[in-house]
Amino acid sequence: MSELLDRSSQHGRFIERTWGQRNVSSAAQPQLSSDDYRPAMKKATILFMGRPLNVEFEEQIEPWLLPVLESLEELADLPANWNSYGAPPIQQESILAALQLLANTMRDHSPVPFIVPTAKGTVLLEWHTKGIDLEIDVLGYHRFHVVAEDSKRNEEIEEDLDTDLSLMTDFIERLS
Amino acid sequence: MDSSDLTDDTSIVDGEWLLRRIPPYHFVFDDNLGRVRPSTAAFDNDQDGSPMSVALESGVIADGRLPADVLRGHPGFALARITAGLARSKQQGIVRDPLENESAHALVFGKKTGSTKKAFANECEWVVHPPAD
Repeated sequence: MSELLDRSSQHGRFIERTWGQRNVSSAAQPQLSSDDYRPAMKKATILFMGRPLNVEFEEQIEPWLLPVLESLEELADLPANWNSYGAPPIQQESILAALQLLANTMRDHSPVPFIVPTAKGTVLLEWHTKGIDLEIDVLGYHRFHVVAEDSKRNEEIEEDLDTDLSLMTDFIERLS
Repeated sequence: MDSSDLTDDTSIVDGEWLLRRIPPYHFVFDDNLGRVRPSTAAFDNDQDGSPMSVALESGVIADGRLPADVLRGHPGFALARITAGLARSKQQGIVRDPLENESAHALVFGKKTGSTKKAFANECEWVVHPPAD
């Protein structure tokens, strides 16, 4: 956690920590042991693409989040022709939709994806580990092109998806 | 460019090497292969549907240059190559398209599905490896 805080401060980001108790206000509650106490949700505000991004978390910020934000910020700054073949800058909608998708599908111990710009101006999320290749091209909010292969299960998928995240969640879980 | 008007140029033999510049953002470590390779995103058509640009290695050499010269003016980039035969095996066509600043320029046209791009990314060879850092 301290490492995360140090990294954040290096980037001029602000993290606020709050602690509290759960289930202690009612007199009808049975006597509580220390096991009944757990940290309340902590909140952090991180500067992302020049705007404050509010993050809530239990113990610590998910380990994947800060590297992901750093990579996405880098993509946001790419100039036109970044690939030398005339690619456009990366669309802000794709960047924000990628972050939203990861927030909804990643687990604490999910591996950090490679975050790659595409020649179409979108963000491609890639994982290649544990015999699985998973690539999600984030075309916009709720618009994903998914290419996935699990060699252990002999499973190969290429699909356009919208609001149903179950396929992506399932594959990301297998990677964890 | 509308690629439906293009016809595969069979004078470009299957063994011809097609050179493609790889920007630093497209270097990915593939744990399944145990090595760094280009992202599949490096082998796609352009945003407007224009076909993927390459340089014909034989054309570069015939021009008195080295393949690595294709990277001139692009620091930090790597250079990968695939064969014309691999491209054709994935239902792609190839045509010469000389440009003012690259006489060996050619186009690889056809729909690039996930499996097409994956084949290119997995089976390409590095001509100039990504810089070590």
